[in-house]
Amino acid sequence: MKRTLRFGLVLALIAAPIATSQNISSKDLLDGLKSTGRWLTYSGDYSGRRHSPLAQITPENVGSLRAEWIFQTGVPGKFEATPIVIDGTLYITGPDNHAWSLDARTGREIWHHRENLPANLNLCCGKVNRGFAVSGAKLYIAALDSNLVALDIKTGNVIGGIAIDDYRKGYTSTAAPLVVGNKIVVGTAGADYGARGFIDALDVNSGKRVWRFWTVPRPGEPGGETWAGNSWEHGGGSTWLTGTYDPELNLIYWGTGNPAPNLNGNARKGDNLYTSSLVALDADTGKLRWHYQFTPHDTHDWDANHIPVLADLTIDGRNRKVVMVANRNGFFYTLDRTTGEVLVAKTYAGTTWAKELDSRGRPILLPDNEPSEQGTFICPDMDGATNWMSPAFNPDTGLMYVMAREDCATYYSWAEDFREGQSYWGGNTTRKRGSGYGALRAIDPLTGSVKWEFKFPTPSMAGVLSTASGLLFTGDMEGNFMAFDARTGKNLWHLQTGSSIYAAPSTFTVNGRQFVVIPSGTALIALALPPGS
Amino acid sequence: MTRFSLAAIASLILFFASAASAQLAIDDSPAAVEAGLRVFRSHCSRCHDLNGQGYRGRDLSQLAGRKTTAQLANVISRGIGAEMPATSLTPQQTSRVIAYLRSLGGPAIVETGDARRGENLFWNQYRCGRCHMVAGRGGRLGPDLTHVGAARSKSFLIREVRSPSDYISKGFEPVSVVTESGETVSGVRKNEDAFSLQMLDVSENLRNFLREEVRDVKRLDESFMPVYTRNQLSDADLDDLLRYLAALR
Ligand code: HEC
Ligand code: HEC
Repeated sequence: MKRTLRFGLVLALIAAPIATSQNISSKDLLDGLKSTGRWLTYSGDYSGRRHSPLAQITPENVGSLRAEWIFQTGVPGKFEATPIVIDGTLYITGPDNHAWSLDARTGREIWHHRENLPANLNLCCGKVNRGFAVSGAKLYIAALDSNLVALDIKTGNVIGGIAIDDYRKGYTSTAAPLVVGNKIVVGTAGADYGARGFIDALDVNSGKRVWRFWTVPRPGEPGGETWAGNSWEHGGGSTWLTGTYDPELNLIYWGTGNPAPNLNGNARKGDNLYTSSLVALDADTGKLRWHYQFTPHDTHDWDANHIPVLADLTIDGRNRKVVMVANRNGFFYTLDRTTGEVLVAKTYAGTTWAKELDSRGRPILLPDNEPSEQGTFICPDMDGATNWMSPAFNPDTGLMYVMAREDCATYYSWAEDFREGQSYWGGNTTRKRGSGYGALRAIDPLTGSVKWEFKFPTPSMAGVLSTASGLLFTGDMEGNFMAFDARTGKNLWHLQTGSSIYAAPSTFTVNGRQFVVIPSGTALIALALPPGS
Repeated sequence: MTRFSLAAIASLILFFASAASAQLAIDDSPAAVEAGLRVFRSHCSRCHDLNGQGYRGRDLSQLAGRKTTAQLANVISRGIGAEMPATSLTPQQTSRVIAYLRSLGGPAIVETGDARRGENLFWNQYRCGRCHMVAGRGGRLGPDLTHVGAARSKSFLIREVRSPSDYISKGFEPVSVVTESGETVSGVRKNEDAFSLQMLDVSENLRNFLREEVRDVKRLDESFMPVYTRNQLSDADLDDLLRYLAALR
């Protein structure tokens, strides 16, 4: 006993000068990006702004940004994750249930975690994962087989796991969990297979479920009347992207996905609450405080799985706590995040299904907006006017930066029977190839109007990072990683990385130097200014 | 049929389905064909059209009967080249989609036309070879047609000749660039991003541009493949041309 104690002491003494803290408290998470050597949640902090206070890399010097290191994962598939970074060490998940810890200064691997997945997973969109959550000395991954797995932060060893739900019913997980206090909040995918969606809160220590919010209510519950017959049973409403959190209001904001079957609305008459919506849940109980449905009775696969961005804005002379969403349906929304009231709603991309909302906040539908047997031409396309890619908000410019997509499609629908574990779309779409384009757009959340844009030849699926120096970073389908002036939209720098970018950038310091990292292809690329500059 | 024999067949099917994917059992009952249609619409229809008649992908209605189950299962799981993706269908879905493909009768392609005359039209009368290569001979502005008969459906070929701009092949999108000196250079786009453009111009020169070094880049709507109306190219000539193209495999 005495010996081990002494041994432990000696070790601690030796390790002290180079040791990094690997114990993350609730307060650390609340502090968000205050500590520049850290990036602790999917969006960096609870507000979902993906805006860093770092300002070493500026519009003036970004031209000399260069690769500091490149980590090759060797794992094919879309690389969609944002790493967790803690004082010089980086933790990232990859496709196909791989994960790594790296020395953030050199890109050298510390550990590699991999667990085999069952062969018969129901996946719409590849074996992707978007990242870890961290609490204490544990990393949490919501794995594709609908298991929440805890890894030891120093070794990558599996130290616990719990089933969120049953993957054989179509449930899969792709989003980074969100730690709020002593709870881990997770969403699920599966609407494309008719799985009924939910948001779960699990205890950080025991993994036991504390609450579950079903995104599709049963008959008799509030909202149950918005589903004809027993269509609610396979109603979808997935929650496959990380939400945000307001500690003052103690509310969690989370987007919900499309109703199922995706394109055949006849099978589920009614508004289909709470699909294609934003829900505000009490963090302690999971009780619904308010909801706003962006697309009532959605028949276009317009999931509202977006990052709900929190900010405090002065609107009409009043200070408002708002939540902002650029939606797949083509509208940009600013809502009061205490009540859910719509403050601003305006299209930021081409739409043919609706152009404005009525006084109750419902879209005013235009003719010929429904998928059909013969096909109906509708904008936006099924991938939407944006998608899950993170937007960014810079409080200094007051602008939201959104990766917009401009494309349309011919939507078909047909009757399809539900079968457990089988895709449940009830339709399909075709697109005229080459007709669309992408654009990074700056949107004023006070009016919803677009201030500037930068166009790409094809729609991009990359997220946006904003920094306090007035820079934006993002990527495109053609493989460019780029920096822009946040005020004007002027492109200031780019690097052709050689592969389409499907992730959002993040930034942190190592030993006082600012790094920007971006996954591209099978690589994680870290960029920095030349040393000494 | 008694319950027993149904169960026996079911277990046989299961046995075959599980005994290596080398030989799938195909259940051709209306229910399985119906289920196969659904698999097809969800996973294949964006390339082979909603009813399998083919557009960019092959016309499968004519083909499935001529392929063994193993050949079809192999194509479905592995894909072909860069254009038909590998799929991850379950053995059951594969079996159903094959049942569906087999069920597609459709009017048989009337193999009219004269391939030798078509070859002559292609090279001498319409001079399609100005822009297309076949087995190393011909021009470069359009796609190589050496294997076009194996890769494209009849309906695709007809549409390509009558209204080429309906579908423009990747790597052959028409663009024009206005250089700093005011010169306009047109050609087919090999690649493009927000900062550069790679083109084969109409004189078959490869030209690599930086966006910041040119005044303007325009995407054109009309393919460089000319439209051949019935007045310019009769249905009889088209038949002969199609017979020739279909034989290029
Ligand atoms: C992204 C487009 C695309 C999708 C999706 C697609 N195909 Fe294809 N398919 C093609 C093209 C193009 C060809 C012709 C390729 C060639 O011969 O070079 C083809 C060829 C085929 C062939 C003919 C192979 C042969 O032996 O000649 C079969 C059979 C086929 N596809 C079946 C399917 C089925 C079944 C599905 C759905 C599970 C499917 N395809 C999905 C594009 C597609
Ligand atoms: C002036 C040049 C030109 C001539 C002449 C021309 N083509 Fe084309 N063709 C093209 C170009 C460019 C494309 C690709 C763009 C597109 O898809 O429209 C193309 C595409 C095609 C394709 C589609 C190939 C594929 O695999 O996608 C076929 C088939 C074809 N042409 C046949 C013909 C035939 C038959 C003739 C003669 C009757 C002809 N072309 C004459 C330029 C030409």
